[in-house]
Amino acid sequence: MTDEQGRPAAGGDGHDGSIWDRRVSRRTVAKVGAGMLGVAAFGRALAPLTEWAESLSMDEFLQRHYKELTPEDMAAVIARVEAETKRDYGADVTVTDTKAQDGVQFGYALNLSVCIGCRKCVEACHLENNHDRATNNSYIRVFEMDKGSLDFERGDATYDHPVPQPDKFYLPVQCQQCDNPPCVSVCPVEATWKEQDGVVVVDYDWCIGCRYCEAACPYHARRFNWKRPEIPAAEVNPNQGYLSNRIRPQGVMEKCTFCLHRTRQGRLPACLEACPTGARVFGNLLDPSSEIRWVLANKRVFVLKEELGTRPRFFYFFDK
Amino acid sequence: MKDPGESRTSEPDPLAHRSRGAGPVRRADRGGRWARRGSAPAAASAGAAWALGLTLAVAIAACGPHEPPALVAANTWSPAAAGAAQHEVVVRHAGQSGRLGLEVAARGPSGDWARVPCATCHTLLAPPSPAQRVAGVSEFHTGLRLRHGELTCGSCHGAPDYAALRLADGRDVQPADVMTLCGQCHGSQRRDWEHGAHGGMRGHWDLTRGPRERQTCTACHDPHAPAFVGMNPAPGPRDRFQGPRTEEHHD
Repeated sequence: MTDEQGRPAAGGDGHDGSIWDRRVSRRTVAKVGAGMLGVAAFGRALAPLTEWAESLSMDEFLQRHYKELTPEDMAAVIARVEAETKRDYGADVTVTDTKAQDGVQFGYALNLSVCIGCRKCVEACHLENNHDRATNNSYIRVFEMDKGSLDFERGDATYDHPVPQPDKFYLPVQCQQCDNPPCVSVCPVEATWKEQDGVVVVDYDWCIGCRYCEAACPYHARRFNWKRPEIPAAEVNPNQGYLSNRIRPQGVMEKCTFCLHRTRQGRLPACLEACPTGARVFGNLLDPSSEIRWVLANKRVFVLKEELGTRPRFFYFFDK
Repeated sequence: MKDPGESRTSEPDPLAHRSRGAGPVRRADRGGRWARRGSAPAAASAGAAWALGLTLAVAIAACGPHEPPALVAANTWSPAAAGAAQHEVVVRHAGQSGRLGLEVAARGPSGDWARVPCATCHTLLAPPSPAQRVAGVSEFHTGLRLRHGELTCGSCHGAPDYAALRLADGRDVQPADVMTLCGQCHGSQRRDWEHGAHGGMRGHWDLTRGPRERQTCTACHDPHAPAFVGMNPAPGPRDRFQGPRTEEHHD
């Protein structure tokens, strides 16, 4: 029995069971199409993850918190950081993890009477701490302030004219290394903490980049790496500290650490060495014969936003 | 790299050289040493100053032809407690020859500029009046402009040794110890400098782990016009929040 085209008739509906012959319903097409669209969307949604995975090794992903690293772990982590810096920046660097010293509490003081706002400290910080060249980032921000006022709303951090101006004074602000740091208490993952010598540090590999700490800091002292820092290989500072100036990954917070890769080895911070007027005084608060103690005992000293109860370790003073 | 941080400094670091040579040295009381330094020029015969004399002799001897001439081990003051083994605080004094004297730039017969010791002319000339003002000088030093209060030439310079500086009481003081001279009027600055709160420094905050380098007054201040002149600042931040200032209001 055949139909008019001569094909064998199967059943009562003209179908023989072959897939070519089976009539595809509109609903099935819609299902398949939606499924493929879903797969494509899923793949697209995961695309950042694959890009992210290129810059983030499995070792780094599985790395434990800084405080939980054994010395062997730390050696491996440092080797990885050095290798990645070589791979990504073409620079041979030495990463150290010098611990805080017993009997040392760092303090910093700045003489507003002699600061002329030249931003040499800003520049020195930029170079020392391997900041992104494009944004000219630095941990120090110098405010040009009206004399007789401490109103930061009226301060200008982007001035670009010869200094000092006669009716202005200059107020460099960097991390105050507070003894009661609001940035530490707001961190949801404990990626930032206060070290034994008073320096507030960030574990760049533990930070999730939520920027709570940036919002919490009353001194606007924290910076966020919106993108991967770009530094020419020849300009990378090879003397790097794990908790301080090693090149930070994208998407994490960073801050002034009093150059702990230098200061924990007994050296002065880079911003102090760069100051042409000698406005900066650094030292051990526990050493009664230190310069910083002399300043605290003999000069008129104040701290910024004392009423907030942050208890800064960064002091400002006047000569007269 | 052994010490990559040091290699970043563009200029040669005389500190490293000296610290290797001297090593950690024992430094005694800080106040006493400064007191001796203050009375140094007249105290050559004082028995208590023998240690200082030895220090100066070593400093002058060290400034031989193989030593960086810009470096003078003048100040041995250090802030740490007595008895601790410490590195030196070395005071840099720019532009000085091994003679530790003053010089002027003068044009020779060939037309080239040369450094000329003061004694070249001043051993032949009659000593000018201590009240001589720069504005009244008719030959030599005529390019000099003095913007330093009511000082005259004789306030800081004078016979017989023009290579040294002269204190108000007539004693000589070496240029490397110019802090003593300036401190006659600028006592608070001198005090702050002694305590590390005036004038910059480089090196180590912890002198048990390394030396420190400081500067004399004249390394930063022109003694004839000591007020700091203005300068153009280094570039400011260029991030998304710190662009050029605008007067816009965000409502």
